Amino acid sequence: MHFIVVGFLPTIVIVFIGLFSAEKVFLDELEKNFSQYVRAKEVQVNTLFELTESLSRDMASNCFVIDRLSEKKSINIDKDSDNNGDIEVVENTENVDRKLFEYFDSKKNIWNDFLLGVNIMDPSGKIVFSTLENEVNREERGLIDYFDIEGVSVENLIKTEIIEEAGIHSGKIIKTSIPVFISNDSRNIGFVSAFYDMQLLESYISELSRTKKNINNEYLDQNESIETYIVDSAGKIFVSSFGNIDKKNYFQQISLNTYPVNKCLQEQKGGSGVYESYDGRKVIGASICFFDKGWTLVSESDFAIANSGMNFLEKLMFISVPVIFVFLLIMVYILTLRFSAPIKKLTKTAALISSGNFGVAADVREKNEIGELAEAFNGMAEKLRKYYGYLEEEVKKRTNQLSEKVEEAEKAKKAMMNILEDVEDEKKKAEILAKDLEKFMLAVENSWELIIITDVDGTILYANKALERITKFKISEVLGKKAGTTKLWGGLENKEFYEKLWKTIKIEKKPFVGEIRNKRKNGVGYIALVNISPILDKEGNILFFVAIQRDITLEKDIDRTKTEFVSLASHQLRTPLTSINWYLEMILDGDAGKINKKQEEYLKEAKDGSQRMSDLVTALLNVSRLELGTFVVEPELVDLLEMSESVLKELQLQIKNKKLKVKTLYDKKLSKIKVDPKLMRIVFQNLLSNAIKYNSEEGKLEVVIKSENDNIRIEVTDTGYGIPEHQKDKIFSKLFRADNVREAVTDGTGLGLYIVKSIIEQTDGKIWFESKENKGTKFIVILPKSGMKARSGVKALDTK
Amino acid sequence: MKEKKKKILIVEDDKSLLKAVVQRLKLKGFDVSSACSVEDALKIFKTEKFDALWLDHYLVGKENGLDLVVYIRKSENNSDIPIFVVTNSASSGKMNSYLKLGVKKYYIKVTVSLTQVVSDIEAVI
Repeated sequence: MHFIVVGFLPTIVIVFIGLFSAEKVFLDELEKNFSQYVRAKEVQVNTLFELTESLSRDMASNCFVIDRLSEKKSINIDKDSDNNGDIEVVENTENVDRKLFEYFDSKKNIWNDFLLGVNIMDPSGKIVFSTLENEVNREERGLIDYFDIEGVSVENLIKTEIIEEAGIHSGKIIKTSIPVFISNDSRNIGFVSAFYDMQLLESYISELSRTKKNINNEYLDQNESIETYIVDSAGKIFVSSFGNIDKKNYFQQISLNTYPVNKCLQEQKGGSGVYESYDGRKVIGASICFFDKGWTLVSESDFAIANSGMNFLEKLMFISVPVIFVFLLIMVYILTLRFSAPIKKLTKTAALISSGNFGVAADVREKNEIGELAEAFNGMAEKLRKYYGYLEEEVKKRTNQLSEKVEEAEKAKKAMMNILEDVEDEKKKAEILAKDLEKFMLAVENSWELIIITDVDGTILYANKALERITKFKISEVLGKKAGTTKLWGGLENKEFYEKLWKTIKIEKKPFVGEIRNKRKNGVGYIALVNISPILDKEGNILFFVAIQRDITLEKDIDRTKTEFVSLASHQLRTPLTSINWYLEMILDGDAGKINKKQEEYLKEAKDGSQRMSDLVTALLNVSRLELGTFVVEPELVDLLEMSESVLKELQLQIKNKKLKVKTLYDKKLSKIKVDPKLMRIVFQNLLSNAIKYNSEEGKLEVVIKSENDNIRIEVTDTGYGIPEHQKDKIFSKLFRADNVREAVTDGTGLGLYIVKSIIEQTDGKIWFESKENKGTKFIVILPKSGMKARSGVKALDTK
Repeated sequence: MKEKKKKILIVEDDKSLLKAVVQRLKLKGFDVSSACSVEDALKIFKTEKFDALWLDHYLVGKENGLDLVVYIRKSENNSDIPIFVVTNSASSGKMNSYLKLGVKKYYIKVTVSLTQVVSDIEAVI
């Protein structure tokens, strides 16, 4: 509540200041207006007097006037003057006067009675002519005094005064006097005085009554409280805006020394302000100083009256403002009470909200703007709450996402680290590998054997150094070419061979291992042991082939030489053997005479030995042929059953000697098979003779020949010694005799099974056995029904 | 009456073996002549007629038994003489060639007995 008091005092001060200021402003305005007014009046007055003066000047320089004065001038003609002393013949004075009258009348007419009259005076001041009555011969001494200024030309001097001359006009009139000069003479010849009506001046001064514009104060205008008047140099008001007679009489009596008059007479200046007027009233007005005449033009108005309107306002304000103020305060207080409460609520709520509590709502239920504001506020708070909630959600979500992302990033980082570790490992491995690879590279590069890598079509991608040594081709000559073609080292084998090779590696995707006849660049043939392996990818597609060639020509040569040697030796051995045989035969047959028992016995032993040697030689020869591959295969349609029986018949003696039981199981429907009979016979002979040789006394011998799918199966079973476990793998080797039979069976070449196996396998068959020591042995031979393929060799294998 | 002896020509370059064969054949009652080369054989063939020929493949000189057979087959007399090839060569090619030329039998010396060959010859002539 105290703030009301605190607010009240300054307010009052301000009000009063305001009032005073307003008053001042008001008065200033008024003053200014007065100033403007009097200035306007000044102009008008000046214009008027300029008019009178110019008129007078005109008249003073009128030739008639000059004539008149120059005629009637005094006899005192200055003999000192420059003129020749000629006295001009002048016109008759009456004529001149007449002309003067005409002239002045015309002037009067022109000026509408403004010009009242004219007096012409001689230099002494005696009126010599006048348009007025009773003026002639009157003397005016004052003029001469006025115009006679020592040493100064009085030509332009003019005297304007306000006089009262009852003979001329009732009331005051303007009198303008001016000296007359002859044009080329500076001597004064007389004076002219003109009298003018004050009416015009009066009308200027009292113009206020006709116009309202100037002061713009309705109060003043209606009361005619603005006075405008002119004070002469004597302090007498000679013209004023008040037209009534009383006022005029009053003015004639008084003499002013008011502020404006004094200001003009003393300072030759105009002024404005608030001052005491001629009758002591406080007035507000402005003045103009006609300092050359000493006149003051004043326009003023009663201060009280001027202020009266203001005073009313003042009073009004004085009362109303505090009232209004109090009223306002009360209003404010009420309003504050009314509004501050809800606003306080709003503020509190806002504070709560800003502190994060969005659940609040301002409890303001006004039905006005505050209410609306509160509604809006609440709405906003609600929205904020929602938004905040949403924001929280979002933040949570984003935080989760972020933390997920961080997790992921962590994982990724870990994974990356792992990968990097792996990469490091791999890198290390790769380095090791690279080193190993280097080793391999070097190994491959420097291998004694020719190593070629081709693509899936056989185009050579790489060949090692051995290429040149073996094939005589340079690496540059073979890269990009197909391996093993006639252009390079191939072409010496037959078409079927290459077809088989290609089929094995490309279609069956298996390695091909075998001997191949190749030729070197110079055409010289060589024998290579080749291993061509396809290299497959995960899906089993061929990526490349790796072909390894070993030049075995030399070994082959050596082998051949050995075999040839064996062959040759064996061959050569045959002749002496034949000799031994035949001579022994002859002796034993008695060709050389009778032999005793003892001799026969010994000779028989010798013959046996010789026979064995012959068998061995035959076997060796067969072996050498088999090894050289020089044995011939001449397939014929052979009845295996027949052959089997035939061989068994051959061995009848041995069978009988051992008292063996022979059992044959022949598939009677078995068709003939295309085989080389000689070779087949060797097979039967060997198997059957073995089955007999290694059989037990009174043992069993079983021969089975039957069809099995696309093959013919031959089984020869005995119930003999059997083959010991640890020696089963050597049975088919050359000159091998198992331990368990070595002592028991001394004959035999030890080459039989080797030969049989060679024959069977070189003719696309299979042979194996099942055996148990002391139980017996079963040999199984599988022959494809397609039989043996013909082969041209050099020799046939020998039968015994 | 004395039966005329069958005449056999033995063409064999190995002295030892030749002697054996000649002895046996003589013992068996054959009239035996011998030659060790194609040249000699042809000389003999010009003047005499034989009932059989015992022929080895490898002989002295450039020509071998096969050449001789060719000659014989072309000759006027002895062209159809039964020929028994007794050799140690097991070459099937040779054997076929001889057989194509119509030799009666082809034996491997080392595996065959004298008795066998003689009995075969006796059977034929």
